[in-house]
Amino acid sequence: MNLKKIIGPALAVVIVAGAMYAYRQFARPNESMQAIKADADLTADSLVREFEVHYNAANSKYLGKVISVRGMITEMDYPGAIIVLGGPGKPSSVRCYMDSAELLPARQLKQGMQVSIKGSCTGFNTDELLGSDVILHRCVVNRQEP
Amino acid sequence: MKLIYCLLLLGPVFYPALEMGRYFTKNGKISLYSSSPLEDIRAQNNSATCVLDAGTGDIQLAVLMKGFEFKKALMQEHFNEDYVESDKYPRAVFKGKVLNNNAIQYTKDGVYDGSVKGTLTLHGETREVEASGKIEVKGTAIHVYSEFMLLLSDYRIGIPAIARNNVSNKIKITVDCVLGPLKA
Repeated sequence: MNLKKIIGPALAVVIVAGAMYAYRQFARPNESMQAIKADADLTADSLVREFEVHYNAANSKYLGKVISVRGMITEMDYPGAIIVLGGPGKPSSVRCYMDSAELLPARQLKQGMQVSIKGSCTGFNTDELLGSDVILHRCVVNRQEP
Repeated sequence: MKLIYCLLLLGPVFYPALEMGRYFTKNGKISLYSSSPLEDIRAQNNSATCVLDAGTGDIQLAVLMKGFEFKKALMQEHFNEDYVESDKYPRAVFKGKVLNNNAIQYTKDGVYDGSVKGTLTLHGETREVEASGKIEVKGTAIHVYSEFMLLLSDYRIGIPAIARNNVSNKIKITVDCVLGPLKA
């Protein structure tokens, strides 16, 4: 009798907790990029080179990973929304699509500045006409280098 | 002298053809939408590349699958891991032709109806796709817009049994790209 009294409420608690956990998982937004520790930290040139020379290995190493990339800003599209890192005149680059929450700090940056940007690597886009680009999404500015 | 007159007379005829070069973007927007009883599924990718050869009508679009952003992290994880297997198949590519390319005056501002036919490679499967849309010419910019449906089953993208009632096999794809001239 006593056991029945305990099992009923305990089962209800387990079901409610399970449902809450499932809902929280279902509604979970993407984690803030600022809070995520980068899996790798390297220069734009070396990242591009890794993809150009060892495409499959670089894909396994970086695809879907959060990485910090250092380099010079060679281009800025839609001020603050897309920052391109690379060497002047080089057809290959790292294109950083900024997180919408990062547009204001990114707008303070200027072409020619050295920066460190953290983002999620979505892959390597290569085209014989357009050149090759490593793509980072949901990017945030790490810090401004002197 | 006759030759010079001929060239002067024919100049305006050939001038548009000479003007028609290639146009491109690296910031094309591709969105996907699917209606489901539980919740609508929406995602957007704003880093698609698109190249259009205005002379021949050849058009190519490429998109990295991991670049699709969902509001909910779980949806994004399922999309990449269980549906499109983006680690194994990181890119989707469309290669085709503007069927009515001759009817589009790339040197004259205006909005033109366009239809495109080609092949779409997604999840390792290549299928023929035909879509209609709008091509807007404004100065040196060309805005390409199209919506079309695709079936996940055509691309061997399976829906797990647990989600079968909540995820539609039919997905609406929207292409929205503003292209600028590609300098050689």
